[in-house]
Amino acid sequence: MTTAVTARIPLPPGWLAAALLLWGACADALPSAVVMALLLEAVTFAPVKWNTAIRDFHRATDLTSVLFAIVTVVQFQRHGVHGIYELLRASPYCFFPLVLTQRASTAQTLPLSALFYSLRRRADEARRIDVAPAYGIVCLLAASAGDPHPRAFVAAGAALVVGMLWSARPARWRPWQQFATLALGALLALGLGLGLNAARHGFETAFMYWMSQHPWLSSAPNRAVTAIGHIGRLKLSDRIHVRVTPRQAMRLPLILHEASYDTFKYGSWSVQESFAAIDQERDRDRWYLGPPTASPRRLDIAFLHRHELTLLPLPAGSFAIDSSEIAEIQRNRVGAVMGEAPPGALHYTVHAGTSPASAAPPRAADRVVPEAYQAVVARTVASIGLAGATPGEAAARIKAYFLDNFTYSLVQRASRGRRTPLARFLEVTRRGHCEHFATAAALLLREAGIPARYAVGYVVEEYSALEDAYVARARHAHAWAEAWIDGRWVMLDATPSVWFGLEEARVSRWQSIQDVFGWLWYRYQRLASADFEASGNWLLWLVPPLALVLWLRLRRSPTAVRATRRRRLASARVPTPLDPLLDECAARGFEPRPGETLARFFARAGQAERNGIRLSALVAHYYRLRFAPAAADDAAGLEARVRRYLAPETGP
Amino acid sequence: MRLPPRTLYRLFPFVARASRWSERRLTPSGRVVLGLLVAAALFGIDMRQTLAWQVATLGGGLLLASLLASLRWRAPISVRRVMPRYACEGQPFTYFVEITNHGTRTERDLVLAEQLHQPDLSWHDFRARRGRARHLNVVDGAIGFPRWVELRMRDRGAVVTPLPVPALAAGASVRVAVAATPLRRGWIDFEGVELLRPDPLGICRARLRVAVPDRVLALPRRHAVPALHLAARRHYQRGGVSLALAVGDSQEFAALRDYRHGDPRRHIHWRSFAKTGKLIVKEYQDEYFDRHALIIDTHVDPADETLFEAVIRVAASLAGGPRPRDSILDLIFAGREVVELSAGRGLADTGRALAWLAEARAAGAGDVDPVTDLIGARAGGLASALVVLGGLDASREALLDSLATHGVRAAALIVSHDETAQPPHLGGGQQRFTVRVAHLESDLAALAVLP
Repeated sequence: MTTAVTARIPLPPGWLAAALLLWGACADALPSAVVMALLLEAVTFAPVKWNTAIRDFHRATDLTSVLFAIVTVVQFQRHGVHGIYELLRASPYCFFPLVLTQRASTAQTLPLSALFYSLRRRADEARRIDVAPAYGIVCLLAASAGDPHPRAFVAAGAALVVGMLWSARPARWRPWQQFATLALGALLALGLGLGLNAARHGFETAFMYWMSQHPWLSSAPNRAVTAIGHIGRLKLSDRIHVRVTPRQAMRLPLILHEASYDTFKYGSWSVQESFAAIDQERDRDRWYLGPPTASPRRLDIAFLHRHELTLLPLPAGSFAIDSSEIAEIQRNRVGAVMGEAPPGALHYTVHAGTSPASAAPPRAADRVVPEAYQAVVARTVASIGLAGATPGEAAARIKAYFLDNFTYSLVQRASRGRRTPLARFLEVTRRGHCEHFATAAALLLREAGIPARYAVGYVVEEYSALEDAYVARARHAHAWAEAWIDGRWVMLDATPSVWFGLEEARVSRWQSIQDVFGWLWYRYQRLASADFEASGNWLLWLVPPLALVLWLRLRRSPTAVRATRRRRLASARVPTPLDPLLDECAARGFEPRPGETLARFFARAGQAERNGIRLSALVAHYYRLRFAPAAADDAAGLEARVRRYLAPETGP
Repeated sequence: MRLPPRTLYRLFPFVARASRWSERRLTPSGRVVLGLLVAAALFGIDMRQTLAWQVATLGGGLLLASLLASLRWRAPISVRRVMPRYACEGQPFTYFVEITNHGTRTERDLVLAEQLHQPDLSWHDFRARRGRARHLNVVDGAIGFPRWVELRMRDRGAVVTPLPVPALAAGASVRVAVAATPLRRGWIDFEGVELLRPDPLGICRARLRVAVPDRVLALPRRHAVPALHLAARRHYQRGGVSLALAVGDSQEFAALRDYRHGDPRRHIHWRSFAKTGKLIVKEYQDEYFDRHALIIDTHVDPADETLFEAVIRVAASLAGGPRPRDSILDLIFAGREVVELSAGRGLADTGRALAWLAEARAAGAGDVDPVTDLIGARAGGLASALVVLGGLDASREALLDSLATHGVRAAALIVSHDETAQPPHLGGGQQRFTVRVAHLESDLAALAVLP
C-alpha cells in the first residue's frame, strides 16, 4: 500500500539560513540573523537529535505564542497601526523557537496539534507538518518590511522561492520545459508588478483629487469635527489625557491650546494650512516657537498619543519646548504645534511667557460666515447690537449675551423643521456645549467684522494626588473662539463658566479605580518608550546562555539520541538483499521514518505488485531470512526476486 | 450549540470548494506559493511601507504560469477498482485501484484521488443534525464551519487520502492499494477517480477524471458482548425439514410418500424408486429448533443521530455476538412497517444480518404496537427475545408485557443519553438494561445476565 501524499517539501541545504541572512541584511538585524542561522544549521547537522515528545512541541509552540503576543503588544503600543510592519519585521524572532525545535527533533516535523489548540485534546500525532518552508516565507516577508535595496531584494527573494521549487521539481519534465515555465512566470510577475504600480499611481492621483474636493475629510490636525447637531446626551470619557507638572506656582485654570481652525462647513472646522518644521537649537533638545520672554514659567506636560505626528497641547505664551523624545516640531500659521515622536507616552517641558506668542495676522478665511448661517448670525448680531462697537466691546457683549441668555448642556433634543443645529442653538433651544458657544461666538465676531477663529484644547484645573500632577481628562477638552483685537489674537471663551462644575458633578463612581489603572498604564508606557530603546539589543546577549542551557539539557537528557551512533550502526549494517528496494524508494523521495519497520515502510512507500511479484512477499522473505534463517530460502533467491521486481515493467 | 447565521452558512460551500481546490490542484510547494502570495498581498497593500507587493507579484506570476501549464491534460488511462464486499464503520479497509496506461509515454509523479458521492446538506438538515460535533470549541461551534465539514464528510461516508502513483510505463498497469476509513455505516458510493499531474514548476496539478462507479457497504460498528446464554427451548417450527436439518434436529423416520414438487433430492428413497420406478421420498416426524428474536426499535428521531446509531450498534453487537450455532435469529425492525428477517445456519449469515442493520434508517417517533401484534402470533415458536429500544413508553411497556404474557423470556436494552442511569439496571420483574450512549462499550461488556 502506498502512503498519502506527503506535505514535506525537500528544501535545498542551507535554504533556511539563506532566508534568515536575507532578513538580517534587509531588516538591520544581521548579527541576530547570523547567530540564528548558525544555530539552525548547527542543530540540523548536529550528531545529537532530541527525541522530542509531543508535549515538548506544544511547549515550543506556547513559547512562540507568548513571544508573538509580547512583540505584538510592544510594537502596537510603540508604533500604533504601523506596528503591524514592525511586527512583521520582528516575526522571525518570534517563530524561531518553533523551527529550532523542529530541526533539533528526531521527527523533523511538528504535530499539527502543536499549532492548533483544539487538536491537542485528540493527541493525534499522525497529522504532522513541516514548518521550515513557512518560516523561510516569514523571513522573506520580514525582509520586505525592512529597508532593502529593491532590486537586490527582488533578486534574492526570487532566488529563494525558485530554490525551494527547484528542489521539489517533478521528475517527469525536462529541464528546458521547466525553464520555459519559469521564464513565463517571471514575465507574468513583471507584468503584474508594472500593472500594480500603474494602478497604485492612478488610485493615488484620483484619491488626492477627491480629497482636494472635500477638504473636511482630511484628517486632524487640519480638521476638527464638532458634535454640533448631535442628538441626545454627549458622553465624555473620564480618561486622563494630559498630565501637567508645574515647576513654579501655577494659576488655575490653565488653558492648553491644541489647534485653531478658520473654515466652518457641515459641522466641521478645518484649516488649509501646511505645517513647517522648526529648527532645533544646536546641541540641545530645545525648539523655539518665538522670542524668549523675561521670567518665564516652566511646565512639564505628558500625554499618551497613538500617531507619530501629534498635536502638542501648549499654554498661551509658549515660546520654547524641551524634549529628548521629540524628533521634529512643526508649526502652522494658525498656531497649532505638532511633534513627531514614537507613539506612546510623550513628555516635554514648555517655557511660557506672560504674553501670548505672536501669530500670523488674519486672512480672508477668518472673516467668512458660511452662507447657510448668514441669516441667523445676522439676526443675532442685530439683536445683540454690535453695530458700531469696537472689537473689544463687541467681544465683551457677545460673552455677556451668552452668559445671560444661554445655558450649558450636553443634551440636545431632536426637533422638527429645517433649521441648522447652530440656528436652533441660537434661536430656539439656547442650550449647548462648548462647541456650540465657540462656533457661534466665532461666527458672530466675523459678522461684526472682527476676524475670528475656532480653537480647541484642554482646561486644566484638577489635581491628582495619586500622580502628584494636574490632569486634564477627555471631558475637560474645550473649545473657544479667538478674536483679532488690537493686533493680536485674543481668547474669547463664551461658554458659561459653570460648565466645569457641571462636568465634575457627573463623575463616574469608578473614576478612582480607572485612574489607578490609567496611571499604571501611563507608567508602563513611559518605561517602554524611555527604556526599551536602550535595552533592545541586550536581548541578543540572552542567546549564548540559552544555547548553553539547551546544549547541557540535550547532553544530559535521556531523550537525546546520538545520531552519529545511529549512523555508525547504519553504516556498519550488513548489506541486505532489500537495499536496492530502499534505494529505489529513496530516489522517489521516500525515506524510512525513525522507528519504522521495513514492512510498514514498504507498505507506504512501495508499489504493491510489480512484474507479478508482491512486495509484501519480498518483505516476508527477508524477515524469514533475518529472523528464522534455518527455515528460510537462500539470500540469493531473494536478491533475484528483488531484481525481477525492480526490472522495468513490460506491457500487458 | 449555537447556529451560525444563514448568510454565513451560504459561504460554507465556497470555502469548502476553495479548500478542496487547493488540496487537490496545488502541490505542497504550490500551497506554500499561494500562502506567500496571500500574505505578501496583505502586507504589501501599503506599497510604501514594505516591498512585500513585489514578493506577491513574484508568487502571482509563478502561480499563473503554473495554472496555464496545467490547464489541460489528456491521457489514455483506464482505471479499475477491486472492492471488498463489506467494510466496517470506523475500521480502515484496503481496496485496490488498477491503473493502465494505454499511451506511448511513461506517466510519472501522478497522484490518485478518489471522488466519492457527496449528498447535499440543506440548511434544514444542518440545523436538525445539531447533535453532532460536540467536541468543538466555542469559536468553532459558533462559526459552524467545522461542524458543517464534519457532517458533509460523514455523508460522503469515508476518508480516502490522495496517494502517489508509481511510475506508469507505456502500456503497463499498476495496482495501487488504497486505504479508506468508513465514517458511518451504510453504502459508500464511489463515483470515479481523479489522476493529478504536476506542472513543470511543481506548483499546480492538472486533473484527469475517470468515471469508475462502485460501492461498498460499511457494516455498523460492534462492541464486544459477553456470551449470551439464550434460553434453549426447542419448538416446532413451520420451517420444515430443510431448516431442521440445517439448524435444529428432526425426529425419527415416519413414513414413505410420493415425491411432491419441491422435496429435496436427498430425501428420495432410492431403493423404492428402483423397485417402483417412481419417485418416493422419506417423511420424518415434526421438526424442532431454537428461534430467537432481536427486536430493534427504529422509532427514533432522525435528528438524534447519536441515539439511533447507538441503537443500531447495540443491535449489531448482539446480532454479531456469540450465540448457539444451532439457532435462528429473527431480526424484527419496528419502524413505519415491521420488517422481519431471519439469520442462522443455512439461512443468512452474520454478515448478512449486519448488512441489514447497516441499511436501517430511523423512522421517527411512533409506537411499536404492530410488533406487539406480531409477537402475539409468533410467540409459540420463540425461545427468547432481545429488545433494543431507544426509550421506554406505554407502547414499549406493552410489547415487553406481551412477551412476558406469552412466556417468551425477554431482555430489554434501553439505549439512553442519560449519563446518570445505572447500568445494568434490573426492574419491573423483567430483565431491563440501560445502555448509556456515551459508555456503549463498557455497558455492553457489563451485560452478564440475559435469558
